[in-house]
Amino acid sequence: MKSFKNNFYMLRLMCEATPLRVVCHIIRWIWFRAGELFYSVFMLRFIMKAIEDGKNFGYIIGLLLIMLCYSALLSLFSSWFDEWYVPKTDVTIQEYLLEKMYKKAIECDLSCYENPEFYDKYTRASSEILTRAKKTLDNFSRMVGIFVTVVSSAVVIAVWEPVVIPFIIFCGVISVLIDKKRTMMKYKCMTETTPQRRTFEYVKRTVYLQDYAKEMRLGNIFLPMLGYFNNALKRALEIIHHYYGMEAWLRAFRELFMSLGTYLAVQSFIVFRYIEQHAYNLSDVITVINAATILQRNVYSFSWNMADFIENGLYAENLKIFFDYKTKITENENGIIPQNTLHHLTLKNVSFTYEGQTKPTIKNISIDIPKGQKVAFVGHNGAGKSTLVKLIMRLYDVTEGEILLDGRNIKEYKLSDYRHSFGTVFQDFKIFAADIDENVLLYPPKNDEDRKRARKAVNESGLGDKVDSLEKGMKTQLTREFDDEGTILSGGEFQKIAVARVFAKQSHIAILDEPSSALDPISEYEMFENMMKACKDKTVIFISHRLSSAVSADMIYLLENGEVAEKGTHKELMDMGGKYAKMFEMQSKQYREGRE
Amino acid sequence: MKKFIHIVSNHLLMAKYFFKFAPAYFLLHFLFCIYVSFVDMLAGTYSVQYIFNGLSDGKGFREIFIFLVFVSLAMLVRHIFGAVTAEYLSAMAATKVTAGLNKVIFEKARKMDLVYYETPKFYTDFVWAASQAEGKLGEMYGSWCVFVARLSDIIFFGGFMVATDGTLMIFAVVLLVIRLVISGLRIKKRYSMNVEIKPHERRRDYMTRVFYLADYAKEIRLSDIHKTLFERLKKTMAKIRDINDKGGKKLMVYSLIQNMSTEAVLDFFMYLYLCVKTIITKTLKFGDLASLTNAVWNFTGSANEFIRVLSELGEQSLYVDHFRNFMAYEPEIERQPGIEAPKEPSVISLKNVSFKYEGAENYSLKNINLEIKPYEKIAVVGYNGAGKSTLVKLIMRLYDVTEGEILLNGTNIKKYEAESYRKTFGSVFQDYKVFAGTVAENVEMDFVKEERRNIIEESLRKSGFSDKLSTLKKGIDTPLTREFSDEGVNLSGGEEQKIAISRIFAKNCSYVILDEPSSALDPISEYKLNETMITLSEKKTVIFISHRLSTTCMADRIIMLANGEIIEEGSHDYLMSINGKYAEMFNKQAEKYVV
Repeated sequence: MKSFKNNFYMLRLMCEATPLRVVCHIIRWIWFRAGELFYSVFMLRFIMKAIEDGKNFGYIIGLLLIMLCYSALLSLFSSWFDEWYVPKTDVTIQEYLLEKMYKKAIECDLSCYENPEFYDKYTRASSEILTRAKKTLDNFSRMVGIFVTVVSSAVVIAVWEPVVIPFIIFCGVISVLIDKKRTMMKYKCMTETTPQRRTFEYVKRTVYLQDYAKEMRLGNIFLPMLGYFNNALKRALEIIHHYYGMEAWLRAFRELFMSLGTYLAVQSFIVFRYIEQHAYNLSDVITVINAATILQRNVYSFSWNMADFIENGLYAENLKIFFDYKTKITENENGIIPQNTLHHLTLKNVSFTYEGQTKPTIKNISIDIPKGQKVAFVGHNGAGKSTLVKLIMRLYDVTEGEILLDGRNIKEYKLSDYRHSFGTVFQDFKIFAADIDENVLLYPPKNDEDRKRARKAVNESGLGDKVDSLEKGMKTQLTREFDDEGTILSGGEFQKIAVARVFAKQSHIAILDEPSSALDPISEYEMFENMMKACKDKTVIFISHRLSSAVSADMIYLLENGEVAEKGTHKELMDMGGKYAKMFEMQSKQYREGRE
Repeated sequence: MKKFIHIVSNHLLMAKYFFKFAPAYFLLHFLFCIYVSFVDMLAGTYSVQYIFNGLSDGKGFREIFIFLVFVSLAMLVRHIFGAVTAEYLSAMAATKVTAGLNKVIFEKARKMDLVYYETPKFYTDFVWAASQAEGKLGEMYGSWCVFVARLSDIIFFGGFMVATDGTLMIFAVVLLVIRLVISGLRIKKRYSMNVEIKPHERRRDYMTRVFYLADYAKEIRLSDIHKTLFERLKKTMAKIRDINDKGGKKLMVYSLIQNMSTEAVLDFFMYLYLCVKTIITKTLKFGDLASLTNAVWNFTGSANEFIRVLSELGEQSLYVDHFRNFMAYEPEIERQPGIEAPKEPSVISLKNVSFKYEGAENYSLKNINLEIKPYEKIAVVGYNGAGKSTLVKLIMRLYDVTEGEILLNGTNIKKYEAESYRKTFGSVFQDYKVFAGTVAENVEMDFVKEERRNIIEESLRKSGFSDKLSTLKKGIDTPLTREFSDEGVNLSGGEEQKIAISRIFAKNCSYVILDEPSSALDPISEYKLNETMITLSEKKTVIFISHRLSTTCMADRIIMLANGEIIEEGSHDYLMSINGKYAEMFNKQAEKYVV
């Protein structure tokens, strides 16, 4: 029942894209399936009957001409449908589904990406959506076609021999029941071998992916990996042997009903009635026997298609879970819009625990960031620095406490506008397959003013000369994803693009999460200088491992295990002689010695 | 003809692999396909002829009943046969063949020179192609089965038609010829459409990746970049639709000609012929007419599919060409014979070394001359993209030099066996990886022998992993990552790095290479790491790359690279005194620290 619901869900989605295609698809399959019935039951019957009744040859030619018209109509329809209409509407369906999918993906909370179970469902849903949608429609239409054929051939049989109908139904039901059991066994086998299949996939990845290639060549780590592979193979074969051993017997058992039941019993019954009881004409016998053969063949196909039907249903369920996901951090349409001025940011007793974890990552942090202050977050790896900035940008919602912007809880603001009041560079920033100006503005430039702003930002981040050297300047396509002629910049240059985003954004708060980690010392120095200059009038929050950059901050927060361990200006912290001072000493020792 | 032989030999090659891993299934399933086709003809066509000719000839019920029993037994055998091959053997074979083929490819792939992984063109042609093999082989096996099944259909049903009325042969041949000719045209058109669509599909798939990879999630939420991407998606889809629309019209015409001529017109004349023979000349019996209609129907369908599968086989052969290339590949570096490398640290000298990546325009390294004495600590510094990583990869012989030579102890390193040569190096890269094995395997990077366990624990202690180790229940036998089991442990970035560093300590190596191992570390961890590295590597030669120049002060010699050339070289003090590029870099970084 659940399979039905899920399959219908998928069909409904396709109907939303193009209802006509779905209808035509179903008609096509009914027509194709029932076609066999038309030729070998109806046409043959009429011809035979005409011969029996001694009709003249002209009548028979008439019948054949009807058949010719029918075939011609069918080939006209199938040529139009298969070759032109299907490929065309496929694209429409794809576009509709992809856009729906992407829109939902944007809406989903960032935490979804960190929830492996949900993420797994999502990746599967999105990687298969295009092929699955098609499969589901195909499968469903075929089932409808089969169903119509089964019913009409049963009606044909019932006209002459209603007695055999309950018998056929009985065999058919048993066959479908056994098949359901078989499908379940296959499914169980599949779920039970999941860990083994994952092992295969992982070992494959280590061999094929570039990331692992160096280490594979510098040691013998492949050998233990192959060991894991072989163990998994052994176990997988055991499981398959167990389930498919049983499944094969079930299939053989089903045949007892199908071959001996529907074929032998029905055909000999009809032959018996003809010979011994003279119940009907030869043309009737041919009609009934052919109808019985078609009926039997379609019951088989029905079982086969049932397995696909269930599989498609399972897939659609993943998709449904994803589409029905209720976003926790929602766009607050009636929310207030942040003012276009410098902001005052306050964190009050903020705590945060990642979903599925017991230990909080952020513990009871209170921080006040007045307008225009330059704030540095420093601390060990894993101290919670990145989490804290994500909370500020409302990529996650706090577990306890509250964050205020200009005195109001950030949840009261309209989400997209709230987020737009930040300019950000992350350590793991990404470059998109788009033009340089689009990559800087992060939207297509609308007018000259936009373009000027993008250009200015690029100059400020120190990439102006490079852009001038490119043939298409700001219109240069980045990465080779879209265009083989696309430009690939070095890691440092890409980083400068990411930094230019902050310059281009007309926001009043800039957040920099270790933006200089991939840069060589000179570029790092220049970048930092530029950044500080450009953000002169902005509030700046930055995270850095290189404490040299913290020196000029108005306020430094040293985080440790999710708490603020020390705070103050560089001078205050150095005077205090605490952990910050110790860290700074360590880093600066060699620089000072090196200079002497 | 040559092309035909090539396609056949390609398929035979793959068939050999399949046969090797699942011989019983391979043979039995083909037999099954032939048998199925036979039973279809028997139960669907021959039995119609037998029964109706029998009925009109006035055969008794008994005789016909015995015939029906015989046919249903044949059907039963078919399904028991099917249960064994199509269900049980097929499930087992699918796993066996996939695993077997993968193992063959693994062996080959891991011997492949690193260049093949790092040059995009080679990567797609070789490594990526190989990774598709299991899927392709499954697909090909499916096509072979269809080929065998439909060919038997053509033989059985065609044979039946000819046996009943020889003239029908003409119709069969005409039908096949029309289909073959038009299919050829269709395939050509389809192929050119696919070529046209491919780049657009690649764009579409890129978009999917952007939206589902976690890497992009933050930026997408914080900006309006999705508007740009949506606009591009719309354009891409419109282009695909356009190609389908234009090409589809032509395909529609081909298909219409084919279907009209065969399914409508040809069938009409065939039935007309049959009716004439039955009614006017009375040479065909009732049963013949009924069974022949059925046979014609089946024959047409099978012929259609047979022709479709022929084109599939041709397409698959294109893939086999890639696979052949991959299997024929002979590495130049990996697993090549050579002499044993000296165990003790010796002099490494680079003489006029230049290196250019395959397909690149510019040299990554130009004319490098460098001599590294035993136990020397060398720092390599420079701008982004100056060639630092390439230099150490050449020294470890992950690549071979394009020009010049690298000597170890006076012998060209190409003369040493790569494995024995690399054994003398311990290394940590910026992008090190932790594997889904146990902690011990990850340190040893091999199977763990009993007598090595103490050494491994000792190495973990040296790298500062002891604290974490004491919290792990299974100690060094704890599985890492959740890939293989849910009991696996996921380590933090810093912890993983410590595991990677332990590898050096566990390895009894003479040379240590560190490629920015400290970039992700916080200041305190970084400081500790540097200290340990220096003290524990007293008896080793160390080459390290770093952007943090505070570390480089410790080196005996600093090599400054710019645009693939050595521009400055010497001790820290010397380089500071000449006040060149290095001094400029150092001062800029130091400026803020020295307040």
